[in-house]
This record gives sequence, C-alpha cells and structure tokens, in this order.
Amino acid sequence: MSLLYPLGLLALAAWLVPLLIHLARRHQYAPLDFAALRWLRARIRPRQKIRFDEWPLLLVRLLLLAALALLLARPLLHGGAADTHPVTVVAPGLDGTALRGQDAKGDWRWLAPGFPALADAVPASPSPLASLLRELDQTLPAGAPLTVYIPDPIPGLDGERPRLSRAVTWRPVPLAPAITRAATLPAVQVGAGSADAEQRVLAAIQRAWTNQALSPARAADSAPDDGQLGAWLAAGPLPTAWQAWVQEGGSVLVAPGAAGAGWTPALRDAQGAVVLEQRQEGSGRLLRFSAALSPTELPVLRDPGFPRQLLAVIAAPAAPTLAPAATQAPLRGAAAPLPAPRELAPWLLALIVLLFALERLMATSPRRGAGA
Amino acid sequence: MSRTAPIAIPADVRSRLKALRLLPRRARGAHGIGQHASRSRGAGLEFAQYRAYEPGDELRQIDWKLYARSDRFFVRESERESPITLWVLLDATASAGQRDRARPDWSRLDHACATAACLVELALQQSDRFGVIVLTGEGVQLVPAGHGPRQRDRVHLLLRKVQASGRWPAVTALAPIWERVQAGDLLVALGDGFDEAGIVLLERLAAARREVLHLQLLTAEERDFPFTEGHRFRDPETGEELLGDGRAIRADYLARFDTAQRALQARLQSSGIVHATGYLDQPLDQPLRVLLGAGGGA
Repeated sequence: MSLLYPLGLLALAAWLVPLLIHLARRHQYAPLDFAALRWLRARIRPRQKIRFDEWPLLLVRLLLLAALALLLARPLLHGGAADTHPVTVVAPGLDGTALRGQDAKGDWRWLAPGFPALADAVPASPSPLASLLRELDQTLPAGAPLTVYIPDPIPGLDGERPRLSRAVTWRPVPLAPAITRAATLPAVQVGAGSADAEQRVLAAIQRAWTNQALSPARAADSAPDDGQLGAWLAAGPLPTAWQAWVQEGGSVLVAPGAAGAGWTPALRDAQGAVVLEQRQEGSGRLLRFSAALSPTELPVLRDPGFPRQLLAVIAAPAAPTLAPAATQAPLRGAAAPLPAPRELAPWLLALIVLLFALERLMATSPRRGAGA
Repeated sequence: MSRTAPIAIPADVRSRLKALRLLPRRARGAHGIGQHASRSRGAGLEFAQYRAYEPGDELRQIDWKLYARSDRFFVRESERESPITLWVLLDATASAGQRDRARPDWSRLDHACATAACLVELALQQSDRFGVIVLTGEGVQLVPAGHGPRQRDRVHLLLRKVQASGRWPAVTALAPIWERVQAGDLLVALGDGFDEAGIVLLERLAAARREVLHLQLLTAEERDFPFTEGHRFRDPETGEELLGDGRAIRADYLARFDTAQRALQARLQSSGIVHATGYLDQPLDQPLRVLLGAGGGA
C-alpha cells in the first residue's frame, strides 16, 4: 500500500478539533442551585482532569477524520491477487456471437478502443489492430491468457509487427477484406504549346504505362483532370488555371529550367546524375527534367525501364495495409505490464459514509441527550 | 414550576399525625372552648384562684363554704381551656426552589408546603385557629387566622399558588406579620434558616411573647454533599457562583456547615425558640415529632 499524495495526511491535524471540543466541553459545568453556598470555600478549583466522557463517539469521530485524511492522501494497494482470468478479443468485422458460441462465462471483448464487451454494439470497423493489441497486452495483468480472433488477411497493421509480453492464442479467421483498391495509373495530359518531339516522348511513356494514346492537348484555361499528370512544356509561366490545379494537389511536368527554388532530386540515372527534380507547390508538386525532353538531350529516355521508374515517382505505390494473419502473429519479448495498483477510494468512501452514519446515530441518540 | 396538584399528605404520615399534638408552652388561648390552657377564667373544672367578691359577680360563683370559714365573700374562679392560634410562616424565597438531584420533582418549597399542610391538619384536629404567612421576594402573602375545614381550603389554595422567588423581603414589608401574629400565638417557621434576616425576625417575635418554633428544612445534598465532580454552584438568591470540585471541598463544607448549624441551634435556643431540622428525603412527620414533642413538653 502506498500513498499518491502523502501530504494529504496533514489533514490528520484536524484530529485536534474533536479532541479540543471534547476537552472543552468538560469544563462547562451546568449551574447547580445550592443555597448553602456561603459555607463552600472557593479556594479549591475543580481539577482539570483529562477525561473522555463519550469515548466511543470521540473514537468514531477520530476514525472519520482519519478516513477523510486517508482519502485525501489517495492510497493505492499494490499486489494482491491480480485478476488473471482468460480474455478473448475479437477484431471488429468478425461475427463475435458466432465465434463465442456457447461460451457465456468467458471475458469476450472487442479489439477496439476501450475494449468494450462483446455484448456491446459492434464498434466501427477500421481500427489500428496492432496498436490495440499492444495496449491490451499492457492493460491486462501479467499472466492472463489472451486469445485473439483476427481476420485473415489482417488489416490495421503499422510499422512494426506486434511484440507482446505474453503468449497469445492467435486465431485467424478467413475474411475477405472489405475494400479492394483498384490500382489506377496516371494519364499524361499535355498542355498547349508543347513541341512535337516532346509530345512523342510523352506519348511513348503513356503507351508504356497504359498502352493508350495521348489525349489531345489542352489550352491554358482548362486544367487537367484529377489523377492525370499534366505536362506544360511551353516556355513561360504556368497558366493560372494550371497553377490552381497544382495548388489543389495536381502534378505538373514543366519545362526544364523553370524558375523557383526548393527543387529536390526525384530520379537519377545509372550514373547518378539527377534526371528529374520536383518541388512542392501547395498540396501538389511541380516536376522538371534536367534537360529537354528528347532522347538526345536526355539519354535516360532510351532506357527501357525509365517509364517504370517515372511511374514510381509520379504515382508511388501505397503502403501495404493487409498481411496474411499467420505471418503477423505477435512476437514475444515486450516488457511485462506493470501491475496496476488498485485505488482504494471507493472503499474509503463507503467507509466514510458508514462512519458518518454511525457518528450521527451516536451523536443524536436520545440516551446521549438524556446523559448530557 | 407549576404546582397544580393538590397538596396531599401521604396516608402513613396522616395516620402518624393523629398521635401528634400541638402543645404550646407559652401560647395561651384567649377565647372560646379548646384544648389549651387559657388566660380567660370563669366557670370551669380546673381551679384557678379565689378572689374577693366584687359587685356584679354572680352569686352562684361565691364559694359559700369559704364564706362560712372566713366570713368573707370569695369568688371561686377556674381556668377555661381555649384554642390557640397557630401561624405557619413559610419561607418561599428563591432558595426554597432548591431540589435534590435524586428527586428533581420535589423542591424545598414542596416539602415546606406539605409540612404546612400537616400542621394545618393538626390544628384542625384540635379546633385551633390557624393562618399561613408566605414570605416571597415580593413580600408577604397570608391567610388570616380562622378555623374549620373551609379555612383549611383557603390555606391550601394559597399554598398551591406559591412560587419560590426573590430574596428575603425588607423589614418594612414584614409589617403584616406583626399586625396579625398576636402575642401568645404559636408560630411555626418553615424554611432553610439560611437567611440572617429570617432568624432575626424569629428572635424578635420570640422576644415579643410569641411562641416560635423553627423547623429547618434542608435538602439531602446540603446534609451529605454527595458531589464527586466539578460543579458550578450557584446561590439561587444572590446569583453568586462558585466553581468547585465536589470531592475536594466536601470535608471543608461539611465541617463549616455543621459549625454553622450548631451556632444556629445555640442562637435559637438562647432565644427560646424550639428548633428541629427536617430533610427532604425524610418523611414529613419526622421533624414534626421532634419539634412538637419537645415543644409540647409532653
């Protein structure tokens, strides 16, 4: 047992109050009619004996104050019998009731923020399962067996494979992922004023990507569609409409030597020379080749792998979010969860209420009124 | 304090009262027929004296045998037995309100009133005249002397109204006592006897040929001083207070109180006042027996 706020015990100084009241009450004598007063001698004062008349009541009052002081000090109870009953968690999306079956007594929970009981409403589906697993592992007392029902493939992973402090019974349940993302390849949209040679190169790249022809060039006042790669290779500044489109998240290929600072290399050739540079512009970006877009000026264009390399720059593949559940079984070796000390405040509150009721009962009992 | 209940004399006390008699030593009845020696002389059984014949005396009162011997007319006189007048003087100053903690519903005044009722019963038995004088802080209340059961009711009516209050009244307020209590009357004073003015009054009454009996009524606490703890003692008349530890001051108090009581007895005795002491935890008639037994001379 320890105290979170030991200074709260200073409240025990309040013990002085009932003690002093109790002692002070002793010195108040009720006047007693005595006609033969003249034969009493006043020399001898009554002895100020420290005597407690109603020590049960005093004791209860002191106990009450002690309990209040202890409540202020916020006692914690360490150790004790940790609750190591088995826990089973079910990832959202799985059919919890079916998995549970007839096991009505076990502690079944959702693997969701707060770990609600299985009987509660099904939580919203997308949740960081790996992170929740780590949290649950640290929340449960050491030694509590943990069973995890997880969809296969498993979503909600993050950078590291879950590493837990205990052995986990890993139960993958085959479940088709809810969302299948269709991979979309960008289409090049050429702006007006591009040279034919450049258009031929772009058309070749487009054909390498999607095996489709280049769409007709667009004028300065019509920006490319979303998902396209704009190409404004004409000299001069970018048209206003195109600039606005870039600001909103588009990617535009501009002529080499375009003005501006903050260009960073995006693609290098085999010799390590920078071929493509990019620059953030709002939430979009500008791209420029290091030389004019022709095989003579830019030999890397002759490389058969160039369209793929460019595609990796233009549309970087999304990080994987699904993995086969069998490969993601948690590792052992994390630090064991610290045993959570138990707060005694509820018990103390109950004790205080009881003591207060007892004190009132004793203080207002008719027997005491008659005695006093 | 509301004393609405009629003053009831307990049955055992009432039965023992029958054995008691008011027998004054000096008090003499004046007129009427009663049980006490009287100063009025005339025809009767008890021989008193011979006196010379005076014109106007009845001839049948002349003692003819004496005339035969002495050749002079003598009139034979005998004493008559007449009733006396009993006055009960009740001290109802604030100190009369004191009561024992053991019996909080019985004050000194209650005891005094019950004793007064006993005395009235005695007087009624003997066909004596009786009256009651109550001394409170406001002055004197009294029932003029009379006789008969209706007089007793009048006395009870007064006794029931009495409330203990105030201090001993001034001498000027005591004039009704001197007006009412005639020389030769019997006066029984009931009270605590702590008031110096009260004792002086009794001494002066005794000196003025009233037969005075003093029945001092004390509480058991004044006699025993059973206090073992600290108390704030308060004089009900002066309001003076004294803080004292009962155990520590007990011996000193008892010695001083005993000395004072002896001094009071000696003083009363020297004035010819018969004195007895009754306590609130004793039967009503116990001090009366002492008082009247001694006073009557039996």
